[in-house]
Amino acid sequence: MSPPTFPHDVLEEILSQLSPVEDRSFLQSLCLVSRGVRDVCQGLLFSSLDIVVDVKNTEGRSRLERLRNSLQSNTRLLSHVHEVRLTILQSHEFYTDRIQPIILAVILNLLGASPIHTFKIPFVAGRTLGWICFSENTRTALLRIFNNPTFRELSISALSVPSNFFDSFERIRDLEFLGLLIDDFSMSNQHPPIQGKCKRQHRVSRLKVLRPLTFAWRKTVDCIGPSIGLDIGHLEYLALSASDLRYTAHFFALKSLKEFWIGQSHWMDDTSTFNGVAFAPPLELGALTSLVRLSICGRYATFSRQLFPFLKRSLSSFPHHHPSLQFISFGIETNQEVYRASQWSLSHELFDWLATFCDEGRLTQIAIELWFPIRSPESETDAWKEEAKAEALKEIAWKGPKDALTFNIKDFNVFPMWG
Amino acid sequence: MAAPATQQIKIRCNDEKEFTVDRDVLERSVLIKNMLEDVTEQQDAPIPLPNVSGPVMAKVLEYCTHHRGEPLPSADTEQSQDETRKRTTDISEWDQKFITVDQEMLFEIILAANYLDIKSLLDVGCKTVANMIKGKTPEEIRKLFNIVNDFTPEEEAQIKKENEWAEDR
Repeated sequence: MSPPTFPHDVLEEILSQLSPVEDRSFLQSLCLVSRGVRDVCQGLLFSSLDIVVDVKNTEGRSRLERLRNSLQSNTRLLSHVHEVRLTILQSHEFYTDRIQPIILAVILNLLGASPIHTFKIPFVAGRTLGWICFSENTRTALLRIFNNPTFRELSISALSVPSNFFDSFERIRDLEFLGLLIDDFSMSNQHPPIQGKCKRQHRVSRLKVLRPLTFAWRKTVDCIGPSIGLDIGHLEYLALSASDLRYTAHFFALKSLKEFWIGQSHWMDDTSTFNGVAFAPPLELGALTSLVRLSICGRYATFSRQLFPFLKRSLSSFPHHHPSLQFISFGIETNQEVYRASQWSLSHELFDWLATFCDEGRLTQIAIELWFPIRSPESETDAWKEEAKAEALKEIAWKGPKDALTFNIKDFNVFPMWG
Repeated sequence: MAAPATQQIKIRCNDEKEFTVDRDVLERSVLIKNMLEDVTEQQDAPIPLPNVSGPVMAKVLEYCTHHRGEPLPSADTEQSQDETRKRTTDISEWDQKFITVDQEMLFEIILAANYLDIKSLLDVGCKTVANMIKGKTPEEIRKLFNIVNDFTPEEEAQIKKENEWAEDR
C-alpha cells in the first residue's frame, strides 16, 4: 500500500479529533511521528494557551518557566497561538513569589508576535496582586497583543486592571466582543474594615470604573472614553448588580440600550444591597431613549423598602412621552418569612405613577413575578401564596388598564437573577 | 400528477469511468454544486473529476445517495458545528457500516471527500482514522501510515523540550 499523503488540512482534521484536553499528552507524543504531523499537533497544542499565575504557589512557577522556555526556544510555536486564557490566582493580598509576574511579562512579550484573536482573563483574585501582575511591562505587552489587527475578543476581570489600562487600547472600538467582569465582593464582604477605603478608591482613583456583576457588549463599542463606562454608544443590553447603582450615573448616555436589568445578587447580604440605592442619585432613565424593557430582580424585604421609592425617583426623569419603553418587570424572590416583612404600601406611589404611563399608552405591560423556592417550608402552601398575591394587589391598588398589570407566582430552584 | 423529473448529471472519473447521477445527490459535493451553478446552460459533456477513481466515486455516491435531502451545513453554522464535531467521535450506525472498508479505500475516500468538499463524509473518515490511531505509539503510527521518521535525534530532543510545558496538565 502506498503511503497516504494527506494534505495538511486533512491531517489537521484527523488529529483535531484528538484535541480535547484529555488527549493532550497523546498529541504531544504524536509530535514525534514526523515533521508534518508535528506541525499539525503543535498547532493544536499551542492554539489555545492556558496560563496560570499563582504567586502563592511557588510550584506554579516551574510550569510558567517551561512555557517561557518553550516559546523562547522555538518562536515558530508563536504562530500557532490564537487564544490565551490568563488566570491569576491568589486568595489573599499577600504573595510569596514575586518572580511569576516577571515571567508572565516575558511570556506576554513573546506572545506579542502571535496572531492572537481572543484573550480571556477570567479571574484575578486580590486587587493588589492584580495590579502587580499588570505591571508596566505586562501592561505594555498586553496592549501590544490587544492592538494587533488580528485581535477580536477580550474578556477581562476589570477590577484588577489599573484604571488607565484602556487608555492606550486603541483598537477597543474594533473589537467584536468585549466582556468585563467587575467584581470586588471579596473585598467588600470579607474585609469589612477596608470596605470604605475600597469604595473610595472606586469612586476616586478608579474613576468611575463601574461594577456591574457582568456586562458585555458586542460588535461595536463606540467609545470607551477616558474611563470605562463613559459613553458606551452601542450597548444594547446591560445587567447590573443593585449595589452598583450608586456608581452608574455615567452609564446613562446609553442611547442604544434596549434592555436594562438590575439584579440583587444572592451572595450579598440584604442590609448592604439596596441600602446604597437609598443614597443613590436617581438613574437618569429618561436618557435611555431606546429602552424597551426594564427588569428589576431582587429579594423582597430590601426590594420594597428601598427600591420602589428609588425607581419612582428614577422614572420621574422620563420625558413626558418616552419613545420606546414598553415593559417593566419585577422579579421578586421571596418566602413566607421574608414576605411578612413586606412593604408593598411603599410601592403604592410608584404603581400609581406607572398606571398613568399605561393610561397614556406609553407602557404596555408591567409584570410582577413572585418567585418562591421549590423547597418551601410546609407552611408555604399554595393557598398562602395566593393570599400573599391578593394582599399585594390590594396594596398596589392598580389604577391603570386591567390587562397592563400581570402578577404571577412562580417556583424556582435557581432564581433567574439575570433573566 | 407525476413529480418533475430530476435533472441527471454526468461525471467522469480519472479512470474514464462515468456515472449519471441525480443532481441533488451530486450537490452533496460543494465542489460540484458550485461548478453546476457556474454553468448557466445545460451541457451534455460529463464533468471531469481528475482526482477521483471510479471505485472510490462509487462509494462516495453511495454515501451521497443515502444522505440526499439532508440539510447541507451553511457557512454560518459551520464554525459552531466544527466545535461540536471535534468533540465527538460518534459515528452513526449506517456511516460506520459504510466506512468499514480496507485502509487504502478509507484513505481514498477521505481524500475524495476533501477534494469534492463533502464535509460530513470527510468527518466520518477523519473520525474513523482518529479512532484507529488512538493509543498507538509514534512508531506504530508510522507503520500504520507508512510514514518515514524524518527527525534527527537532536530534533527529537528539541520537540520534547518544546512540549514540556503542557506535561502537567
